[in-house]
Amino acid sequence: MFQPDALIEALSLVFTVQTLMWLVFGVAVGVGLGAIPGLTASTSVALMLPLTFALDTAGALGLLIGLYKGAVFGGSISAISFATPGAPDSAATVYDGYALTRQGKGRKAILASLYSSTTADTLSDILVIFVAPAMAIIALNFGPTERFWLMVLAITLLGALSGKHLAKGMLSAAIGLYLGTIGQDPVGNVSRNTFGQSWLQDGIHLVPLVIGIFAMSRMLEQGLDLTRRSPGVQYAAEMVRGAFAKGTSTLSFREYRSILPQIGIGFGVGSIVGMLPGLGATVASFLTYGLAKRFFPSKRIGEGSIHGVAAAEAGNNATVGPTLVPLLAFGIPGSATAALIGGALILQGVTPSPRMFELYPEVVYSLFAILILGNVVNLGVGRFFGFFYARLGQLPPQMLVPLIMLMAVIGAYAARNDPYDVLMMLGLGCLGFCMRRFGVPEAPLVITFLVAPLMEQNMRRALLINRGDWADALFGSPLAIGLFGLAVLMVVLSLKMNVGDRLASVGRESK
Amino acid sequence: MKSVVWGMRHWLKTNQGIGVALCLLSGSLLLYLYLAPWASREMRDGFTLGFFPILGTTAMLACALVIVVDVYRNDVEGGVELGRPSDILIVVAFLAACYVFFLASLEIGFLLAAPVFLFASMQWLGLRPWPLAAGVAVAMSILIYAGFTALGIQLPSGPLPF
Repeated sequence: MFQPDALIEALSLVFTVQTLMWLVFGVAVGVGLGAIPGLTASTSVALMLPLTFALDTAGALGLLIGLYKGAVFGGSISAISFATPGAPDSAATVYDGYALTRQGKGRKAILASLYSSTTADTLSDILVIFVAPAMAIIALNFGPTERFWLMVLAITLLGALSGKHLAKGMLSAAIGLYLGTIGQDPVGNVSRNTFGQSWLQDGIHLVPLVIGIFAMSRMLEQGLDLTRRSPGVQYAAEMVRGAFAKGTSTLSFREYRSILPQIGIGFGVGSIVGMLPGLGATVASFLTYGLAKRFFPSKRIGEGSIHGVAAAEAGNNATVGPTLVPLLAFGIPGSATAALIGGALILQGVTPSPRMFELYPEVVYSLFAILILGNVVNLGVGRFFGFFYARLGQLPPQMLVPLIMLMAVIGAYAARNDPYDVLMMLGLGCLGFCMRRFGVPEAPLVITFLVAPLMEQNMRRALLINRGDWADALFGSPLAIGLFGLAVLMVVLSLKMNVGDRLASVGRESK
Repeated sequence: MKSVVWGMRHWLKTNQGIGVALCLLSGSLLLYLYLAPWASREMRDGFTLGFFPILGTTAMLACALVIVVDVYRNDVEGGVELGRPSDILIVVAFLAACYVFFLASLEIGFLLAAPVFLFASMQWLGLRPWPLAAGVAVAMSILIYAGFTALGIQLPSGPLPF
């Protein structure tokens, strides 16, 4: 399966000034956006998605993967500086990171976060390079029936594990399935479900959907909160100035060596959690933190220890690469950000699937190279500008909310120059806002929206192969029955054992 | 009487109350789809055109029903509990402002519409002093316009020559 020619071509695509520039830009912007409380990795990637239209595939991947890696690390900066995680992924970092800042060791905490993040991220990326092709070979043997049930299983996992309430996770997936059917049916291209509106005949475009759900909805929420402002920023600003003043302690090589066991746990947990759809970086971070606290009681994790920062940050960053494994191996995104990267690939004309390794090997190898290079860039940007970013978190939200709303409007419009896309984005922003208020997770909606046409294609293909026999089309092989059984088991277990609820609260007891 | 009204208001905020509203919405949508002529149209492979839209809507209805009856039915989500009726007006105002900005940028160009939108929004949200808000609004508009133009993405220019 390894194609040396494609590897050489991929390297020639990646090592161009343009691609490297977009990678550096992506990381630099990603760390900045991640450091701003309220802006998550998926919001950052959604906002920048329209820019990828103007780029080639390698440049687009450089920008988005750089953003993703930068934003996940960037979240720790505000967690350490103001006890306000940039995203939930960095919530576990607050315990030790902020305690270190209060002791005047903010610089040491940020460096521990940076080194543990990039080390665990690099190790997990190497794992992805070996695991994804092997899984794709297995996936190539799947027929349409097995692929259909695999997608059902992935959606069930997402719905079950995305939050404490199974029904709300599944409701989100059902909305995504419905929205994915608006426009034309994916086999006969016949118009359907358009409510008689001609502008809906092309369906809902991915860019307004993700900008509306991930960016506009959050800004509506923050804008609403700003109308009931609370003080507190000034105090945080003073604290940061003191914590990062010149002369404060840095991280020695000996200290870096001492945090390697926690990084190792983070790498292991993050890699496994990242590959499973629905879990995500927050669960990985809290799980790693809880394990490190249990295994290393002498490190006084929870009382202002760099070992706690290292565990939490290694755990969340180690999910970045592995979250792309289901996308590359099966064509099914395992997380919201993976769905956005998959969407960007589709917009570039590359459909993620197991056949991607055969059809577009140069794109897959470019992705692998960018994953590894992204860590080097993240290390450089974080090392030299991390303390500057700590001050970015002090930017008043009154300035940021209108700016991001403006970016959302022009991003939705610029993608296709279609005014209806702006209306659609605003409507979906309102839907996303209502979902957030009602505790319905957004990720299952976006992922099911992307997967819905593939599900329909595979189901109809299976029916055609089996000459309209539903029983054979759905349960024609032991693997199909096994995947169906797993999906049912997942729902039953979630209902009986409240798996999502337990995972949502994982690590909190450890504090 | 007061306690009945209070109880009703509280119930509307619970998962059960919102679940009932979702049932009505998804049930109406399902009925609309079921009665739509295109939904029963049979394709060449024997599949009806409305199968997947109806499947999605049925799943929505089933999930809403589960929300009405499951163990969390009496819980109130934090976001709903803190919500006030005026929130709807504020959210609509934000959305309307964004759409007015978009329409204005098509008419008079991004470079004229964006600073006005940014300045007005920043003032509304309480950014002070106003010269700072005005400076940021103008600078960011020029920066975004230049960035998009450099990428080859043309934003509406309106009557301006560039």
